[in-house]
Amino acid sequence: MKNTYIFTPEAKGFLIKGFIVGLILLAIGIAMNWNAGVGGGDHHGHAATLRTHLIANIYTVVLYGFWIGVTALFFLSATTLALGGWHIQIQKVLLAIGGTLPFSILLLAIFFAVFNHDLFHWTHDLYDPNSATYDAILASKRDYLNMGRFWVFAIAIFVLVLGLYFLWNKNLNEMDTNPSVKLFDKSRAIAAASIFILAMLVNTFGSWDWAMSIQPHWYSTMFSWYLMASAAVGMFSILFIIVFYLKKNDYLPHVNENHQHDVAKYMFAISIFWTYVWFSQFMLIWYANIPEETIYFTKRLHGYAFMFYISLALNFILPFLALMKRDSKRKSKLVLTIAVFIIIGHWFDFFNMIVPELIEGGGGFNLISVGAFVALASVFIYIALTTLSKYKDLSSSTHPYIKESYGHHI
Amino acid sequence: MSTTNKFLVGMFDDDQTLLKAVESAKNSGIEIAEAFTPFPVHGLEHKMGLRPTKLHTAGFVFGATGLVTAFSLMAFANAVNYPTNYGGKPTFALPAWIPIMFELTVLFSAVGMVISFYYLCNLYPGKQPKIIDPRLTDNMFALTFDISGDNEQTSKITEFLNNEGAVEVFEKDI
Repeated sequence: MKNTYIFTPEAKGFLIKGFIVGLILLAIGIAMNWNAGVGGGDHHGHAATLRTHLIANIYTVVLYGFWIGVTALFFLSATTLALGGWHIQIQKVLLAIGGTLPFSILLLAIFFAVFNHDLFHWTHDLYDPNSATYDAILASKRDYLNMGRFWVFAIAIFVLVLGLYFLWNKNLNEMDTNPSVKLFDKSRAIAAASIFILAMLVNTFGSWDWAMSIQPHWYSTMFSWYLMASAAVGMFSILFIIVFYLKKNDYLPHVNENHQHDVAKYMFAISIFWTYVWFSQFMLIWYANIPEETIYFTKRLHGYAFMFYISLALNFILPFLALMKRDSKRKSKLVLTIAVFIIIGHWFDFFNMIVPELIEGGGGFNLISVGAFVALASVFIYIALTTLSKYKDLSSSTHPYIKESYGHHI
Repeated sequence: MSTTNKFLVGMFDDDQTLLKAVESAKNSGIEIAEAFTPFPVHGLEHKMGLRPTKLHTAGFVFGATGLVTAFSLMAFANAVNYPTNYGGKPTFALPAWIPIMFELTVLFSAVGMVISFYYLCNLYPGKQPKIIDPRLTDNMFALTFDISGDNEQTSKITEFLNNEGAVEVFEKDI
């Protein structure tokens, strides 16, 4: 029985090939958009340059990857705190998805340090009444929207997220070598802290600062849980794909269709939750019809209508109809297919949050987007699998709750 | 129902013994009429060979009915029969109807499934309960066998039940 994951050269080769294909697509996309924005202004005042295309699309994928890592840690904490037992065998996979956090945090820090003027409109000189670009509305928000506050919050979030990841990693690794109830109690304490920090601080301020403030005039109180729900579905889909891959290679012998059924249930349930938040945000703004609020959807429906509706189809209609029946949640090949579509659908959703604001009027989705997604997704999965191969005990077979996971039956 | 059937009841005091008895009854070809347990026993429905419930399908059909009802009523009233201009808003206002469509989907599927469930379980207001043994809601488990047509089965099943660890075997007319 294999209980340590070996990251085989074939798997590595596959991901490296994926990375190279992504880079090639990115290069073709760059060549095709080489003259983007040259010659200046369309009817929106300024045209997106190649630089904007690259930054917007890569940032989208990085942010998606960061939030997938955060939701993986959040879900691990939530089930641990609720004394869940079924996930024990796959908790190392969750932790390995969290293992991409140092990488995504590094990339985010680079974006905030180097490209903050490209991403955040409010970083420009808007607060000086004598300046030509003075913006009275944003000036009233200057206590929140300023670079000093932004960096304090960003660094706090980075430190907290990394700290929680390393605490989890240490705790579960100690549990493998020297299991005890005391360690388990400690993991529940970490879980309690994680839930508060990840959901209340990281999710709230992270989504406000890094996604919502890209459109600084607009705000929505539903935005942060809309963003987290979006990433959570992507995380469960990736979890399912990795577990399926491990099962196919004879790892995790006691994981059966019951555990896969539970992951598929989460994909189904959080998809509906995402739709609920997405629709609530849309419907209230549509119904009230206040210009300062509708601007968000105007930008998405004019030029990005296809992306807008396809993300609803992929993220709601498809999983809702395909995963509704109990039997279909237990057919792992079907769920695998849906998982791939969901990952793409929520990438589109993240795209809709960010890119239409930076590249107005359409044209933001091209080979640069696809290339950035394929290349970075390969890197993220490569890091997750490398992390996974470092665990001595893949299925946590000495965990106090492992028997509950073995006997899980629904 | 007016007709009564004769049942042989084997009482067990442990769910694992009951599961084993169900399995060996299957193997030796004895037909079990019904099993009674005070709590859901995992895997019992698989061992009994019961077909999965169709209640979910009924729930889907009821839900779809609710969705169509809500949509058609609102579309007919607001857009066709009596279109009213509220501040220039569209009369065919699909996004605004979705919450109501959702509510009616939930209402129809919930009420419909409760009624279907009562119908399938043969329950209705004023029904006189047929109680095999009051201990079955407390700490005992039972397997029942229909012996109304066949008297020579009785001794065979009694022996089988005693071998399987039943603590009590008796006959009951229901």
